[in-house]
Amino acid sequence: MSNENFVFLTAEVPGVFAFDRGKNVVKSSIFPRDAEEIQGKLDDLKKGKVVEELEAVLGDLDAENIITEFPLEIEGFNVEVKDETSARKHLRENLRELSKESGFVDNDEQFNEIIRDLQVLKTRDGIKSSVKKDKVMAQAVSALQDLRRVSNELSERLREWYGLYYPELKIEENESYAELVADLESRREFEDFEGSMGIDLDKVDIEAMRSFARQVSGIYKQIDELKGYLEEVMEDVTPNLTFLIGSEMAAQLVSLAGSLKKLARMPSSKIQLLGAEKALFRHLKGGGKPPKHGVIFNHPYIQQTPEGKRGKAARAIASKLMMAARTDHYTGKFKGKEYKEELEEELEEIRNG
Amino acid sequence: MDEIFENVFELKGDLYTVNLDPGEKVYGEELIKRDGVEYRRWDPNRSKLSAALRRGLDKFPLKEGTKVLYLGAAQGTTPSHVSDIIGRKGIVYLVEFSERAMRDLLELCERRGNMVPILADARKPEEYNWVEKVDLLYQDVAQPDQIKILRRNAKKFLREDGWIMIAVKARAIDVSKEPKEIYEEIKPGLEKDFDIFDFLELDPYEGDHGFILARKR
Repeated sequence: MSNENFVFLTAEVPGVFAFDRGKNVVKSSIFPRDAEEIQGKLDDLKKGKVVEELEAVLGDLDAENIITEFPLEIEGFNVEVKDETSARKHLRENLRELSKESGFVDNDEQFNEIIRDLQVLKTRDGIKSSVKKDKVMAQAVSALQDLRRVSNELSERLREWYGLYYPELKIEENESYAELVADLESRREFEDFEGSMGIDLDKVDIEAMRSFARQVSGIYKQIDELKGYLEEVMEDVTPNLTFLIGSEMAAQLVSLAGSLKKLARMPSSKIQLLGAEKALFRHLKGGGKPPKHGVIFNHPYIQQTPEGKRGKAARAIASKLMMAARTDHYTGKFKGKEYKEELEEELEEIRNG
Repeated sequence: MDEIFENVFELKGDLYTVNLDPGEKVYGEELIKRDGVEYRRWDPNRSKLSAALRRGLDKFPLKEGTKVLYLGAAQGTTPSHVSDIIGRKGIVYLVEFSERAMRDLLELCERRGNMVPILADARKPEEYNWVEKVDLLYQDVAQPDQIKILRRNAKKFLREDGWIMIAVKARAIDVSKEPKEIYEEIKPGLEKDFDIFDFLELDPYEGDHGFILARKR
């Protein structure tokens, strides 16, 4: 392969470029200065499609061999595809200069603006695709509920088990109980173990309990981790809803509705009862009182409202949640603060009224 | 209007920048007109860079045409004033990880041709490796590993002799320490690559914060 019939072919914001081994521009063809078109052309190239600027560069190219990062097949040339070429790096590092030299832009202001346009476009797409995360969140919140249920069951088992050995151990919190059992080699580590009514056990018996306790404690750690994750992502997926009722309840509502889109299309009366389907059908079949609230029952807003007024409060909350879900789905703007203030005012009135 | 640094103005004890996007406020700040030019008041209680100037920052490397990489742009309060100062010939690349904040930031970028949004984690500069070499790196991220993040970005994007400005939130690094103590802790690490020009505490404008100005060796 001689120097003469060998070029690097690459493309970036300003257009398609052919470089020789000394990184001199052999030929170039610039893109129109429009962010959407540039984005489209670069995407095409990545898929191996031949765009018109590429044709222009290939036109009377005095070379037989091409090295490029694009998966191209071009008649009359030997194409070698490489992930990263020195030419591509060179183009990227000298983007501003080469943009000006090639006539893609006339000055720095124009260069700044087209980079801005491209990044605004890309960022918008990035944010849009994250909205589809609502389904992932629905799974995550279900997983969280599963973990809670399982952790309670296992904690009960651990208490019964370890209780045989050391019934005097009184720790309210399941998580701390599991951690403590996992940490302790024997009940002798407690100051007041002397009079313990528990049975004496061998080391291997205790080890089995401790190993189990470690797993239980691990589940609690997993719960914390999942909660943190949920919080972080929900703030982006449904900022308004999350601000109003917290990440977990917001995810539960999305999960019960099926998707954010479906939630955004629900009337507030339905949002009010999401999670209370069982009670609702019991009522419809003639077997009970109509339910006042579903998932939102557990929210402090309801809990702080006296019994007789909870129905009214639930309606007020649901109607704000409806607005929040619609804002999250249709505009993505943040109005959570306004909604929250308005809601708190309304609730104040209901409680005092 | 006194010009205290290039494109930074002072009137009756308040700081101002010339509005690049006349008629528009960014965060509810006051707009005033003098001799046909519109200025935006630069609130030291809202912007740590303004607070640093009020606290007597003695060197100010931002000027017309400066290229800036800004880590932790949030909703764009301070970046909007940076955008005013550097003008259309300058450019500020804004790295922000939170999509919530990015939504507001995007609206701002659409109105200002020198503000470039980048939705990415500043811990992973390889995600925006297309960014050119800049004259100044600004960081306001309130993360315990912020100095590590800073060095990585400086290595990749800051030109020789380029400047860094860092807002350090003491409680984000160690809840039990004051800004001055934190500064003493991070100083030796910084001094390996940078000459430190200034360190300020930002209260009363911003409690628990320090501000560092330094230059790459």
